Amino acid sequence: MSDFRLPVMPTTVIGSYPRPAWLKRMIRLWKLGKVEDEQMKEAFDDAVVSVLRDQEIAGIDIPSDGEQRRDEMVEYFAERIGGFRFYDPIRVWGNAYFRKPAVYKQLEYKGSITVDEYRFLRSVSTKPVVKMTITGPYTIADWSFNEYYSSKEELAFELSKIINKELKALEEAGAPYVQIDEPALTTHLEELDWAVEAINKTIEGVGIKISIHVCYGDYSMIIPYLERLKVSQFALEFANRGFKDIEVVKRLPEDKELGFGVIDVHNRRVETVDEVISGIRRVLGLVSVERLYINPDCGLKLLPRRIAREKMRIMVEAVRKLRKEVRGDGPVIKLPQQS
Amino acid sequence: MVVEAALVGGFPRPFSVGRLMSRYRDGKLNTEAYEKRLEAELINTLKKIERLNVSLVPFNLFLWDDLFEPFATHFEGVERGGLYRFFDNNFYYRIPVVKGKIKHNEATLTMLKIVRRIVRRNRMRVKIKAVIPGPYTFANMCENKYYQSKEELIIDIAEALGREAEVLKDSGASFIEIHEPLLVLGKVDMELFEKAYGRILSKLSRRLWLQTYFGSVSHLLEELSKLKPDVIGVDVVEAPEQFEKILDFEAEWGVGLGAVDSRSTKVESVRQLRMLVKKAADKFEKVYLTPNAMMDFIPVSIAYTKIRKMGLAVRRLLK
Repeated sequence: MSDFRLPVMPTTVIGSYPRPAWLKRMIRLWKLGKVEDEQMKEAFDDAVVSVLRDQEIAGIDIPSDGEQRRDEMVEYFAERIGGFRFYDPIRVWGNAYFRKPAVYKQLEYKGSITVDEYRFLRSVSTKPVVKMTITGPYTIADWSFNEYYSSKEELAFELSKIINKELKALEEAGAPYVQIDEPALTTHLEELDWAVEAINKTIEGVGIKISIHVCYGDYSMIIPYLERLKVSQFALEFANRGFKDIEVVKRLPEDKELGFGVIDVHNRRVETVDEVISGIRRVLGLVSVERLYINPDCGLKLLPRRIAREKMRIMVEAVRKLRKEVRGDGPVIKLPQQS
Repeated sequence: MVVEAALVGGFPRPFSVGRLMSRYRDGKLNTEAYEKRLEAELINTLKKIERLNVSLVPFNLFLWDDLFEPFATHFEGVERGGLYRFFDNNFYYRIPVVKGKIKHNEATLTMLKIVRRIVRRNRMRVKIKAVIPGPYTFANMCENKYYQSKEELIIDIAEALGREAEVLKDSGASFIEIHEPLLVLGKVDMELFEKAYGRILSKLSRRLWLQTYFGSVSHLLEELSKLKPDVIGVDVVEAPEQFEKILDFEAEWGVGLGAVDSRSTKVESVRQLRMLVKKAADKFEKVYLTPNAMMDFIPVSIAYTKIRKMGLAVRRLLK
C-alpha cells in the first residue's frame, strides 16, 4: 500500500451518470435478442469510457464508471445474489416502474458482482483514485419483498454477510475507495438502531476507505445513529434542501470525513459557480477543510447528459477558485501497489 | 346480513397501462386510440376482478397516479408539486400545493361515468364505489402557501371534497370511500376533524365508507362512530390487535376488514381469511373483506392471486 495525497477538497461523484442515448438503444435491441451478448458487453465498456471522459474533462478528481451497467441500484444486486426472484414491475410514482425483487429462499453469494466493473474502470481511468459504489444491505432489504426471512432485520443481516464478501473481493482486486449507498436509511427511523449494526457488519474486516451515502431525510434525527457507523466518510445531500440543516455536520465525529453535496440533481437548472462557492463557504466554518470532499447531492443519472456534464464542470470550477484562498492539506488515501 | 369481498383505494396499474399513458402523454398516440385501448384494459381488469368474486370495486382502479392527483389537478387554488413519499412506502405522490382559496371543480365524475358505463355495457354485476381523500389527511399532506390557519384550510378542503362526494353519490356511486390514513398517526385534533366532517356530512348523509390504514384507529372508534358511517375500513394486517377491539365495540356501522396485506407478496391462506371473516360476521351486520390499503405497492399478478383468495374465503363462508 502507498499513501496518495489528494488535492484539498477533492471533487468526486456519487456514482450514477446518464447513459448515452446510443447505449439505451443498444440495451433495447439486446433485450429483444437483436444484439449479441459480446456486442452488448463492448457497448457497456464503451459507455463507461465515454462517461468517464465526461467526468475527467470536467476535472473530477475521483470519478466512477457512472454505473452504466446497472439499470437500477437494487435490482442489479438482486439479479446477482441467489435467493431473489422478480414479479411484474410495480409503480413508484406516475408511470415510473421498479422491478422490486422478492426474497423467496436462503440468500447466497454466487461470486463477485462488481469486481469486473472495478477492473475495467481502473484500466481506463487516468486518475489515480476511482470510486466504486455498492448498494447497502438495509436499502436492498427495504426495497425488496421478504417472503423467506422472519423479519426485515434478519434479511438485512443476511445481506450484510453477502455485501461483506463483495467488499472483500473489491479490496482484493485493489479498489481503494467504495461507497455504500443507503438511501432507504432515512425512511424508517424506528429501524435505525439495527440498520446501523447491519451496515457495521457489512464493513467488518474491510481495510479500504468506505464511505456511506444517505440522502433526502431528516438528518437531525439520523445523525446520532450515523455516529456509530464505522465508515470513514459520510456523503450527504445538501443543495436540494437549500443547505438547510447544515449545522448537523458539526455533530459528525472528528475522525470522519464529509462528502458535501453542492449540486441539486433533481433540478435541471445549472447552479452558478458563485452559488456553489457560497454553499461550500457555509460548510467550511463547520468542518475542517482536511475532512472535506465535494460532490453532487446524489447520482446524476436522471439528468440529461449535457446538464450533468455542465453541473460537474461548474462544481469543479467553484472548488478550484476556492482552493486558491483555502489553506490546508488534502486528504490521504491508501492505494494498493497495483493501482 | 352482508358478507362480500371488496377492494379499497384502487388496483395496481399494469405496466402495459403505464406505457400506454406515457405514450399518450408524449404525443405518440392520438386521443381516440388511447381511450379505446384504455377502455379495453379497464374491461379486462374489471372482468377478471369480477370472476374472482369481488363485488365492490373502487372507480379509480389504476386511473390516477396517487390519491390526491385529480383533486390537486382540478380544484381551484391547488396545484401539483414535487414528489413526496407516501407514508413509509417506496411509493411517491405529488404533493398538492395550495396557492389560493380552494374551490370545488368536478374532479372525478368522468372517471365514475366511464367505469359505470363499462359495467353496464358488459353486463357485469360488480358494484362501483367512489374514492376521495379525507379532509384531515389532505390538509396534513399538502403544502399550504395560502391559508393563515389550519382550520381555514381544512374547512375549505372539506367543503370542496364534500361537493365532490355529493356529485359522485348523486351519479350512482355505491359508497363514497373517504381515505383518512393519517388518523392512525399521532394525536388527532378531533374538534377540527369533526368540524371538517360537518361540511362533508351536510352533503353526504349516507353511503359513507371511512377508510383507514397502516395502523390502528381503535382508540378513535367512539369519535368516528359519531360521523354515522355505513362502513369503517380498518387495517388488521399492520394493527392486528384492533381486530378484537372492534369486535368488542358496540358498532352500528359495517366493517371493512382489511385482512389482506397490500404491501407484501406473501399470499394469505383462504382458511385464515375465512376464519377472520366468520368471526367478524358473528358480530357485524355488514362485513367486507378487503386488502388493508390500496394495492399499488404489489405486482399486479400478486394482487390477482390475493383477491382470488379473498373471493374464495367469502364464497366458502357463504356456502
